Amino acid sequence: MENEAYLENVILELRRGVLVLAVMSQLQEEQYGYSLMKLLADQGLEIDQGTLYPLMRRLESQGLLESRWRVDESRPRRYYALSSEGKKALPRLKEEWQRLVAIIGKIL
Amino acid sequence: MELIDRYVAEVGRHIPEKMRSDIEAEIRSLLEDNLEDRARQQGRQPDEEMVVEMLKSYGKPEKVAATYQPPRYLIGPRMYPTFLMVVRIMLLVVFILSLVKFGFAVTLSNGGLAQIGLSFVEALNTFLSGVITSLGVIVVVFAILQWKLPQQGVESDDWDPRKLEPVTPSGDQVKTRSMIIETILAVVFLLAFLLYADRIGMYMFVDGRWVFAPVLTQTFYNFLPWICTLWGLGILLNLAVLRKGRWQPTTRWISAGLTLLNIVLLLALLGGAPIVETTPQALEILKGMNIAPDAAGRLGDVLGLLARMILAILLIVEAVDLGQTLYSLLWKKTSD
Repeated sequence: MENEAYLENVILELRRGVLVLAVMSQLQEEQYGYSLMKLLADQGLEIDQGTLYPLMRRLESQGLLESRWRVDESRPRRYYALSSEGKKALPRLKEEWQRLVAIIGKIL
Repeated sequence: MELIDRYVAEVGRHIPEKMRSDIEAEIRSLLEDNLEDRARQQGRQPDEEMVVEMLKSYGKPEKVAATYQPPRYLIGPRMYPTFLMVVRIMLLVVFILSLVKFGFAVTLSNGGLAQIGLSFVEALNTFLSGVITSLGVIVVVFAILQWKLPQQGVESDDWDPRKLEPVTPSGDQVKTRSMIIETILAVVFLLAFLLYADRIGMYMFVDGRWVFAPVLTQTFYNFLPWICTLWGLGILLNLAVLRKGRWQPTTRWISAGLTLLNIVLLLALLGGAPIVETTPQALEILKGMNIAPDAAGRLGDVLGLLARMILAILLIVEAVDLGQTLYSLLWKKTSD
């Protein structure tokens, strides 16, 4: 039972790093939180809403994302997109991801 | 959508004011989008049941609020070991003080079991209230330190492995934390003896006011310059060792020399005239408290015995310390 909980923690840790890349990759175009969550879910990556919003705020405070409020369908929504810094960082992150996948693939 | 309003307000209550309105607006927007999507999927208008289901899936308000903030500590992991050590020392000091109070009370009592029981309850009360008060003060001090001290700064990556200190053999390692605490305590006691030696004694509450009676004898005051000198030298040695970060043969030899002098001093104190007694002033006060002369005499004996016991314990500690230092110097391999 204890092992099961530990394994779940490890899986959570593995996912946590990947989520940053997944979120950034989908924000080359402006998205509001719920649309981004759906976009990721449609591609098979379920992300908890309690994880997504704090993650986007953190990335924004790190200068990788920028956001603005916009009124859509008579409702205010916060739209997020990659900042210029984020646009520069994304290719590097992708490259690092590919390299890691290749290495881990070989190791496994 | 009253439930959504209540939910958002509850999350907001757990979020610092400066970011509250922004996060509240964001969560509200997400919830409304979520609800709209659910209604579309289920092909019906949103109702209370749907809102409840959605809010439950979103999570408890406190938990949601927590995800927006970094972990907050009253006393963080960096300070916690020092906090624990200070609490342990405090517990020991309060325990000893309560024990001494109990000892005094028993000595001055008429020996009745009921009175001893009462003294025990009083001492227990002193211990518990002392622990609670001290703990409160310590927690407040550490919380202020946690709040005010800068977080672990970003350290420069510019370093040279060749400049690293050689590996210190375990025998030469300094227990920094305990040495700092030992040094601070030594400074406090040294200052107390240098500035307030004439105020060390018994304080008693008589007729609604505190009265003081000295208990230290002239013999003690004759030895005081030697005690203070050795203590001062010990503090200087500790500071030198802390500065260097490890023991070296020179500091070990100086430590052994100081310990030897301490042993000589303790032997002289043990072998000489008593260093504490019930002075005439103390006897006068005890008389005013309606304490029989024989009980007052017993108190003097207990005080003398207590002082000798403390001196004997210190002597044993110093002897063990000297043995360890000499063993490290003569038999164990050191770094230099």
